[in-house]
Amino acid sequence: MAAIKADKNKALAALTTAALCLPGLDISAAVPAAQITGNASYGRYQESDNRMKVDIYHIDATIPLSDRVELAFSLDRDIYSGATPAFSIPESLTNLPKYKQKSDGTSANELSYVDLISAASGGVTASGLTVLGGLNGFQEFNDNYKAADATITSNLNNTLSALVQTKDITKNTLKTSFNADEDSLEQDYVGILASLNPAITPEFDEYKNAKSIIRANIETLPVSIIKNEFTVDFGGTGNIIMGLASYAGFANNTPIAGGNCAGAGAQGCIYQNNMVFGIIEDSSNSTAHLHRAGNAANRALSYHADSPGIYMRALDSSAFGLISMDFLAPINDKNPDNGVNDFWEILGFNTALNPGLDKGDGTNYATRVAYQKIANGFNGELILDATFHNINAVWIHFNGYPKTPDDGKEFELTIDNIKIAPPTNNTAALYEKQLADLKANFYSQLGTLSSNNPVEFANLTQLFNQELAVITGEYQAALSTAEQLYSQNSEQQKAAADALNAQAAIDFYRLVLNKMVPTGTPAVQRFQIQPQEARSMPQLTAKYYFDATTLALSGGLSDEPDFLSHFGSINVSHEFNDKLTTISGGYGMTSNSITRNGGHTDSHHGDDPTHNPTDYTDLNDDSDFHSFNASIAQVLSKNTLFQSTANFSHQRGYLSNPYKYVYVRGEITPEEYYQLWHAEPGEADWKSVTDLEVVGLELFRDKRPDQRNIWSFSNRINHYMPQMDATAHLDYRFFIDDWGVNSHTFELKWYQSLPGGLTVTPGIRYYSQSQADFFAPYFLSPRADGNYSSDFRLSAFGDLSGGLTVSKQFARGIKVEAGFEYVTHSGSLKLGGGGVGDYADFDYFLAHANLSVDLSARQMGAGDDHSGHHMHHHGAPVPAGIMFGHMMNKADDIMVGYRFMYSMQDGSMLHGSNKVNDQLLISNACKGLSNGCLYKPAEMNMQMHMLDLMYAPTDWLNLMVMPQIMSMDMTMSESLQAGGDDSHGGTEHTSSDIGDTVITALVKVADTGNHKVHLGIGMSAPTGSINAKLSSGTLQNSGSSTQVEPGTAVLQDYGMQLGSGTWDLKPSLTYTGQADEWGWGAQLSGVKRLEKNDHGYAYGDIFQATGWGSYTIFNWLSASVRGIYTWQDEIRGETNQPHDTTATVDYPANYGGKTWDIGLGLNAFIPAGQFAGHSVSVEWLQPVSTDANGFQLDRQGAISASWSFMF
Amino acid sequence: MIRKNFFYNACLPALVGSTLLICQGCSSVSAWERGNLAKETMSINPTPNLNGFRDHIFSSKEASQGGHSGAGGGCGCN
Amino acid sequence: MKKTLILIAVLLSSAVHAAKEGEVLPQCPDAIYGNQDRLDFTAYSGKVVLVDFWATWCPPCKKSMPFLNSLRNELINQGFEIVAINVDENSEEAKHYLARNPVDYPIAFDPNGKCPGIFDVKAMPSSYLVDKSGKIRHVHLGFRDEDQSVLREQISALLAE
Repeated sequence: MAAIKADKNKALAALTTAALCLPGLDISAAVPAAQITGNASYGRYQESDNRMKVDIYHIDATIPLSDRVELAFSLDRDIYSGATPAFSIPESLTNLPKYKQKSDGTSANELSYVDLISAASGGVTASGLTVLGGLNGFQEFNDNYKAADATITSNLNNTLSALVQTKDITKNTLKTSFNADEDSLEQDYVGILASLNPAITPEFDEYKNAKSIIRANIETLPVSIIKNEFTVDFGGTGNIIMGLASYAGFANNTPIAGGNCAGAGAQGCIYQNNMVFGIIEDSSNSTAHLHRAGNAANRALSYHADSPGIYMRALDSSAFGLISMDFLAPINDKNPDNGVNDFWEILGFNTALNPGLDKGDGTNYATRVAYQKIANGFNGELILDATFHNINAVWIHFNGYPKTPDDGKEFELTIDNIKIAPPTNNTAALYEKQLADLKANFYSQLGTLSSNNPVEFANLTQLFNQELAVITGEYQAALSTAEQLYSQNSEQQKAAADALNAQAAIDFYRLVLNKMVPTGTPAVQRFQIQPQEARSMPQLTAKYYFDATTLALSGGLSDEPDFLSHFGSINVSHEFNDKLTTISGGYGMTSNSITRNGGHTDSHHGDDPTHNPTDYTDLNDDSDFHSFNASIAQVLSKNTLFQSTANFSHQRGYLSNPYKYVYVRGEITPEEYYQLWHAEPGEADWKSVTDLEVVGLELFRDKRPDQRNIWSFSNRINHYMPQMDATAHLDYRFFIDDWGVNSHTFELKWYQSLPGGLTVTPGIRYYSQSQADFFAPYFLSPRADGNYSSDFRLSAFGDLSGGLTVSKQFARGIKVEAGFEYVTHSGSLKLGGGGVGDYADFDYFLAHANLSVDLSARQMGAGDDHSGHHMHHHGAPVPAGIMFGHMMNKADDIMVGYRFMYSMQDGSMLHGSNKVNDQLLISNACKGLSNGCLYKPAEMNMQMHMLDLMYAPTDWLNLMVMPQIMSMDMTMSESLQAGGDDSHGGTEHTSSDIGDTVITALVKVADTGNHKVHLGIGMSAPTGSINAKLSSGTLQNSGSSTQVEPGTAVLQDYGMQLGSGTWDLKPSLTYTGQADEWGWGAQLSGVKRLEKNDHGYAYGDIFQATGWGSYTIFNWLSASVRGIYTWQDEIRGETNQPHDTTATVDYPANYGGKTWDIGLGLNAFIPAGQFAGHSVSVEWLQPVSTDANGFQLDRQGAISASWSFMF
Repeated sequence: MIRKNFFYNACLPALVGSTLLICQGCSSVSAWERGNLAKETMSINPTPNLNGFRDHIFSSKEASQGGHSGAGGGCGCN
Repeated sequence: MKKTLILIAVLLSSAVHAAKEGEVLPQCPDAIYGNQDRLDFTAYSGKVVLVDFWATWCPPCKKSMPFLNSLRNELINQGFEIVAINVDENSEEAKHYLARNPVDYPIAFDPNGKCPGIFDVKAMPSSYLVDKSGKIRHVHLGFRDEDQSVLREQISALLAE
């Protein structure tokens, strides 16, 4: 009994401690790998219609360090590009008529048909959303607003003319009665004196005659309201003259009653001190306007290339003198030209109204009486010449443009503090003087003729003067009262008209913004181009195998230009119940850091503070995920396995998509758009308008909640059918989260084993999800919770896919697999219906190929007499930087290897072997660029990862295939010339993609044991891209198409391309020798380009000669020293694609040269033990001398590292 | 002795019972009969690289994540 | 006690017999050598024998074979032998594997699993160390690198008896 009990204990104990073997029962296999296993794979994801595409390169290796410890690492490199949906809008908001902008190069009266909602390309500004190409251009707004304004103006005209009439009648009446009173006073006064001296009477009659003639003359002349000198300063704090941001009134055309221009509010003119400022009517541009400039404290008037100039006249069309003004036109970004034809013209006219000026030549007109030219760049007080001292109107415009420019010309002028004086040569003044002289003459005559009656004369004169003063005073007072009354009433009427104008603008904004969207209106998508980006993801895992428990620790990071993620996890799994049951649990944490690729703004309006740009801070946010998982796997029978897993994940932080937008109606009201139009510079308060980030007209950034809780439950069953030698896998996963999304995934895979080591796996997958609570293709009213997304990933849809994978197991642990899967994503595939409409449907395919190597197929270990086998074939090691240096001598041998190279350039620019300064560079390095180079490279680095695959069909022939991926980065210097376009200064350019693939045959020429010579005949296949882009271009049809507009993409320079684009011949001849611990060798190699590539150029041919020596320090370590001479030709031909031309690297003459380098290397070879046969080497290449063609950046050196294994 | 009896009368049956419970009424598979279960195609994840690639793509084109293995790398796919 | 015995019997179901330490080595009439002869353990009486159950689907089994082979060749002159019983359901696969990875000790094939059933094998691999008199002295379940020295000691001790 005791024995049995003990046995029982032992048996139970044995169950828990035995190293039972059951691989594949869990994700953490119960048994560590026997030997190193590795994989290299390539995957390709491609959406329909030229949308997203991703190339994925993956390499991994699992290394068992002992029976219980296993390390694994993997490296992924993904390269993304293509068009991606940006937002969606209802169909009824597309194809709306809008007046074109002059920058199209077409007349601004032409209509184009565009979407109402659009993303701003040059940065969002308040003016941009409204007057500068936004809402205001839509035909429905523009035409209705102008029509309403015409009605308001005509009503105003009627009211004002009644007021003017009243005023004129009153003034005339007062004048007539004053003249009559004055005459009667005079009559009394002179009458009495005449009775005392009859000689006075004929003089008096003559005087009365002359007086009535002069009075009659004065009657015919207009009365100027310009009586004193004053300065028009356009107001400021405490004196608001310019309450609106733009004015479009035609000051040169017939005014309405009272002298105002037709048009109220922003359709009208600017008025100060009885002077009127506006534009001239321009038949080619119905959206021309002047701009309010300066700041709230001190305003000015500005004119630039979106109108035909500034026109000024007096309110009542009277004459005036223009003395001086502040004339501010400094040369800057917005006013760049100062050539011989770049000047401003000021014209003075002798009539206040000059319709049709835009139809002339800008310089010669019949009514022109004054003319002055001012060179562009003038920035100060301008004194006008004397011809401007008696004019009725002034027109200021840029030479050659009596109309709004339609050729892209840019200029800008601001004027302020305009000094106006009464006109000289004032005929009315002359007559007044005449009258005054006449009176003075007569009264002195009267004095003389009345000298006999001095006392009466004195008394009467005194009386007369007193009474005259009284009636004159009364007259003046009455006149001024009439003026005041008129002024008050007319101001009131004008203010009322302005208010009506503003309301009309708001009402017509509302009309445009709130278009009918009937239920069931389909949505349409708008796309944006994703510039090519690369993501890298290294991962490291360590596992420890206890007897029935496995512990796995894993960590890694994922890095791409706008998203950096660090993640780690810990997993424990435990087997029991005779290893029939495995439970496991784990925790993982992911920490992400998200930024957004800011584009630099295309138009300078995006940065111009006077246009009120949005003031959002750059995106720089984080998110954290915490995940927990638990699973149980159970063997149900000898052919059936079942597993059930539950996952919970808590996500917190920035969870929105930085590149997706939503259309939300009502977030910005029409009143708010009006405020934005007329907001003071720097005063638009975006936060008070909306909490969302504005990215265009009615368009906002995707905003999701900052928390998400996710549950997912999956069950799978694997069943093997011995009769068919096939395994079926059936999976079902249910997912649910607190955003309203729940989904079902069904997957069935059939692994069919076939003779010859083939496995064919057809599979089918069906996925269906419901939509997130805050998802909609478009939003016709704002949401209370402020969350919005139109991202198709959160919509209700289904995916159906079918795929096939074929794999073949070869001898020696090599397995090759390839597969293809085609997926349809469609709203109609949602389980139970109710999916989002078909506007977001698309298809995609996944294609992959995988090479896996399992080195346990060759048994290695103590006692294996094959272990010494490979050591004998090793021979002297070849430095890491040498390619094609080593041949395998035994037929049927295979070698796999990985090679890494990193080269660096920085420091000075070289011309030949000499350093050059910037001056020489600017004038000589960019032949063809008119003002010389603008940039040079400051730093350049190149990275290459290469996979070496070699097979020896016979003992004198080796075949090699070497695919590689390349990655380059280059930082540009700051601009070399002052004042030039600095948009590229300091920028970093990167490119990353698969490079050219080399295929080589190595042929043994001689082998005496210690001396070997072999010849390499190789070709480089142009799998590398020559289309690496600096700018991906723009999509056709403003984003409704996924195709790029031809000619808009700009390619990177020659050095940043990933391949040569040509088939190249790569011959080589290698000699290696050895004696005891010493080894030596030499190699001649070259690259001959066989043609020019599709873009019309070819990289230079290369010739290289290298020799080296090595010494074996220990039996596993050797060191090498090497000398290298390289000659490379410059680039032949020139690219025919759009590319930048401002830097030295854009010119073919700056490539190639002769270089001398020294290489210092170490090589480690593992002769025995578990890892026997692996070889690792590293080499540093130090440049000794460089003779560069043209102008190139100095080289700092390169490091090469390689790992290889032969079996 | 008493403790041993307790173990054999109470704990062991419970242990065995719960094991059987987990086993869910399946028949026990002997150690030498596990050849088919050991086949690569019977493992939970016979093609880890392909499944990794697919999961990466599906989780960036669909709203659902996880369900098969633990937390993985983040992705800022558009 | 009886209940537990029955329970154990249920647990260790399919086993009619079992091979435990101290017991005589059971016979396996259904196991066949490659040359079609039946397996007969009496042929090895007087020698120290290691009976090793293995299969091609068991990585630790494959890992142990080079070690066992070199151990056997080292000690054969001292009266040590290994008899391996392959339990692959498809013997052709095992023979294929052996063609590429040959070992010097005899291999018997039992695709129907009778022999492991008689021995009531609990784990893969399982090895039973039998002394010169045919009694099972040690049972090893599984194989790890650390087992190598233990096995060597035990075999040497038995050879010295």
